[in-house]
Amino acid sequence: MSGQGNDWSEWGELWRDQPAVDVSQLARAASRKRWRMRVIVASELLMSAVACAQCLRFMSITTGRWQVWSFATLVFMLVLQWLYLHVRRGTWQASGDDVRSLLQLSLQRAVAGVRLARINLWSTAVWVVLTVLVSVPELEPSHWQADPKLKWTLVLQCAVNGPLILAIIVFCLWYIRRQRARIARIGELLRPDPT
Amino acid sequence: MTRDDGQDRSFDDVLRQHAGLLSRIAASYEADPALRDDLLQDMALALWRALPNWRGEAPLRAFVARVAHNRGATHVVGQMRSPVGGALSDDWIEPRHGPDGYAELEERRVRLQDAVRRLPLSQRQAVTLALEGFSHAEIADALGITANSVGVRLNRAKAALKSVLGEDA
Repeated sequence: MSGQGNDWSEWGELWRDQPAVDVSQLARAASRKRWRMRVIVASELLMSAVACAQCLRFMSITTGRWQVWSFATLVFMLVLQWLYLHVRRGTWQASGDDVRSLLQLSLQRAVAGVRLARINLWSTAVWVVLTVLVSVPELEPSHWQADPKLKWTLVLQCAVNGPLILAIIVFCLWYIRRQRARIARIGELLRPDPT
Repeated sequence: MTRDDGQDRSFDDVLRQHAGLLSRIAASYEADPALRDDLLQDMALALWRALPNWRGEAPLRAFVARVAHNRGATHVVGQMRSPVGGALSDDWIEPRHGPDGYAELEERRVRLQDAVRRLPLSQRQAVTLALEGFSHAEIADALGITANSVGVRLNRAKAALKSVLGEDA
């Protein structure tokens, strides 16, 4: 055997002589992660279903511009869900492809993720403007000052939706920054070997 | 027995057979013991998700190594800090008892592991597969590169390993 082969076989023996793994513990930990993943997916689906049901309920109890607004919100949520699933397609089954293909796929996903986050930011802005425009009559001080129930509803909406919209904006900006860092890092990994 | 039960049982068998391989690949990506354990669990999870796709076109061991490296590469992409550890730490040396001379062997093993971890990712992936006994063709298939590139990477890695391990080039 050549000297080169000796090096690899000697290092190989040394490499493979590593401490034994506690397989039972590993299997239990992997099982916990499997269940956690299933619970997360189920929670996401449940939250989407609840949000859609709320829109449908609002559509059924309102008329005129608020009914149109409910319908638009429902469409907006469904489109976002579709985009969300589109970006995450294929992520449930872990890749058995080669590493380079996976990195290229990860790059495409990161680019798509940035695009989705931008769409999310703009669509949120459009939704907020649309909501404000639709509710202009209710926002008239003379209107809500004379109606305690409407005043309470407006305060509640601002208290719930304000932080929620702020959280969406912060999350999208953070996500875009993170995906850009990923794109740079994957680009480094995909760079061809120097000759 | 449901289909899921059967799948899980088959996964447990595969995991039992390849836990060592997964653990060594995880160790080549992560120096911190806690993060390494977490990565190993993620590799096991990725294997569970990928296993239904295995059609036997490649040996199971090669498929497992490929899935583990895919997860490892994802781990590197997700690491915003440098993934390679600093100076060699005693924490990495697992307490194992054996006959005289065993401590020296153990130290050499840890030094090798540390040296492999310091290699650039492209070389590290090729080296870990070579150390597991995979052929150049199998390594090329797992990494999606040519066998020629595998040879180039292994030659460069060998020189780097010898330098770090303080052996004659």
